[in-house]
Amino acid sequence: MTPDSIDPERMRAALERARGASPADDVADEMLALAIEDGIDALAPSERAAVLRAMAGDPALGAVVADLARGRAVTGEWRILGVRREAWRAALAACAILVVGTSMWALLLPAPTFHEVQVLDSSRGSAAVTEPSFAEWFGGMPLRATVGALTVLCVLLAIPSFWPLRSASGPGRGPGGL
Amino acid sequence: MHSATMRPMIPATVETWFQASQRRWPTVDWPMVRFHAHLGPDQPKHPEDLFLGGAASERLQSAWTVIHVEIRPEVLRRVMRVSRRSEAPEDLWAEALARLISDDPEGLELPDGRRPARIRRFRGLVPMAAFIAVVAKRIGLDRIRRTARVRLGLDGDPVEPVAIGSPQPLPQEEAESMEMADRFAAEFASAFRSLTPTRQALLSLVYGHGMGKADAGRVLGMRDYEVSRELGASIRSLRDRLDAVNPGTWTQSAAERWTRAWAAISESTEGATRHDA
Repeated sequence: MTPDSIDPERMRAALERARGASPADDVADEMLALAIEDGIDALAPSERAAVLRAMAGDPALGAVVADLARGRAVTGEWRILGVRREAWRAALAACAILVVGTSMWALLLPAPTFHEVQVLDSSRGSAAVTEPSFAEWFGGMPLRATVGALTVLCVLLAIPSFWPLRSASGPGRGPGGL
Repeated sequence: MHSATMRPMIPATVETWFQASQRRWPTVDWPMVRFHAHLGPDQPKHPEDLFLGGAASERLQSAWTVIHVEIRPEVLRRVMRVSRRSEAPEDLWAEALARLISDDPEGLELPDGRRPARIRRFRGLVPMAAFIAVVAKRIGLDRIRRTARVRLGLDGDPVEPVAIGSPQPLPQEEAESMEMADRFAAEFASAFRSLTPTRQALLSLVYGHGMGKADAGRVLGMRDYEVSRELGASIRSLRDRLDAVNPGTWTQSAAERWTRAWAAISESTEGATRHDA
């Protein structure tokens, strides 16, 4: 007889006898809540081991942790500088659209300089057409400054938008307790 | 001398926390000395919530009112997002509150002779809403298990065997099979317990509960690729340990099969859990 040949009902009964009491009963609710809020690594080593053993003995407890962690993320509890992640992402999307829109507008603009920048070549006595530089083509200083500022803003907004969730330390706090 | 009138020394941090708590919960009138006594050895991350919990543990009506008005919506939001069909968030809230307001047998008697409420065990390491949401979800888990036990006919009075003559001995083959099952189960339990707690939890979550690798990884603080790698390594390690005690008997598939059965036994038949709160 091998372990593979034991029928499921008998296996279950034997395992129940071998398992004894579940350690899940002794895990403090607050330790589970801490694992949900800050991640399991936030627990002290002994508490971490106790929570893991409890989940090993009772996987439904692990499911409770997973459920609540998901619920916490979904409810937008993750805030950075008091602002929800969704709001940061919406702002980032808006900013990115502005950058792209402004750049496209500048590039597709029927820029008069493109065709009309001509200098008179005095030695040959003929007019020569010179290609405008990219800066000239792209637009004037104010437009370039605007696009540059928007790009920097996009980068800044991307930081809280994609900051790892687990490092948020609670409602109203952000990375590193911002 | 002056010792009779001297106020107990209260550290400046406690005073700061107390003042912040008073600003946040102005209706909760609880003395700073009691708050100081309520603080534990751990540094609370949410001292204002700890203050509220302490006041509630001493059965201040205003503290319970604040919990109901200000904490409840957040608990319901958390629980509602993930509640199963059998769990009504309002019911879970009510049951969680009933549990937290009940007497804590381990708490010292209050001046009026009553026992403090169980919410005393909340230490302010997480927001109070997160704590109560866990209490509520565990109550939901107990309820699901109770229902499952009733469905499986495991609840109710144990039926006494009717003693008619001598008990029927098990057939030889049957007795041997049971003995072997017990031996394999003991080998398995011992090998499983010798794995690291993380590997034990991972095997239980994925094989027992059927949790997705991404979810299991989130719970255990692992990345997806780490989950796959650890899962494979855990099964191999389990099988090696089993093979060491009983060479040539435990195949990889047997190890997986027993892991599933091991993790599944608590899923439906576990009794109501004994929570700390």
